[in-house]
Amino acid sequence: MIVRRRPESSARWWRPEGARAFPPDLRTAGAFVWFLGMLGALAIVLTAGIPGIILLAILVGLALRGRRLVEAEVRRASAVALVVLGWSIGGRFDRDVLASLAARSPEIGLALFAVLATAALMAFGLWRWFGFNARSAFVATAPGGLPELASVAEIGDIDLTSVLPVQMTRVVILLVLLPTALALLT
Amino acid sequence: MNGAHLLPWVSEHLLPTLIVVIVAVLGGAIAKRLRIPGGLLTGSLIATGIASYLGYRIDPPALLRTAAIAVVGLRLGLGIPRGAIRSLRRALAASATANLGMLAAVVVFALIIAPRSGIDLVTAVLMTIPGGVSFIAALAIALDAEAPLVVVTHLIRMVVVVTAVPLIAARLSVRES
Repeated sequence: MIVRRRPESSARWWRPEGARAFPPDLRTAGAFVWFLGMLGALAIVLTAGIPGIILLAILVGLALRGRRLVEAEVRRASAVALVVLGWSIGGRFDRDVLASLAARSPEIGLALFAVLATAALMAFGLWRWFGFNARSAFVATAPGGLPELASVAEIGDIDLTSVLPVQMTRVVILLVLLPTALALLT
Repeated sequence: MNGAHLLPWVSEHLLPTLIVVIVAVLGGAIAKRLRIPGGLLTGSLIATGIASYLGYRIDPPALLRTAAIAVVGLRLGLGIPRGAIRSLRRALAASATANLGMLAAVVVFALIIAPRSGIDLVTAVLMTIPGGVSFIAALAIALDAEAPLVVVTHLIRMVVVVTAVPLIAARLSVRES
């Protein structure tokens, strides 16, 4: 029996040195959880009103990727949409809301601390147990926007092949699971 | 006659709405030009926030808001590169552990802080989730959470991260070399 092995370099080009992958049974379990998540998402779309709309729009967007005309139109429309969202929130600012924001500055500070401290902790974990170098681990878990962090990674000579999968996983988890989970909470 | 009837409506509703729309667009455009994090969203938010504080407190029509939320969702879906989901297999163990750990930690934090601070749970979760500002803002509006509190927290976070990450990364780089 001939057993063909992929060369080590091509099999591992995407993983930082020393990183470990899940064993196959855990990958199957992951795929099953993903499938359940998609089923849950579909259930939410059908029952949850506006959170369902955002989730449905994300899924439609996923399906339409690569169609340049659609992407160009949506890019234009999203500029208007962002202004409308800004207006929706800015329109709520009055003296009472500003006073409430000032009163809640400790909670705002705590929330920021929680996010940043958790990100630092996870970066430590990536560095300590998954073979990331300290810079890549730090940028991979930093809770910023993907384009900003990708550009930081490029400037700082950081291994993008290890940073982007971690950031992308977060984006996908948040986009698909968060609306579902929050709609269930409400 | 009809014109006389229209005049109060124009001065009471149409004119203030137009002023707010112009203020929102200008605010967004200026912030984008100045490359402020969150550009259009942040600029229109600050500009309409000031207008609202000065007495021009007008909400966009509900249908327009819902359409905006849908467009943001569409943009987010389109923004995920082709093959990205397949590429998530790369460093899957590391990615899953780091992200699920981070999400679990911030949700536990929200569960602890919400009952003690009087903030509702959804608002507390949205304040601590490490997501994009436009996505979180759309969700906060959609779920009727305290959107100003959520968005202000995330805008501060974005400023902190965009400012601090390159500095700390550079410092780590020096230490490693």
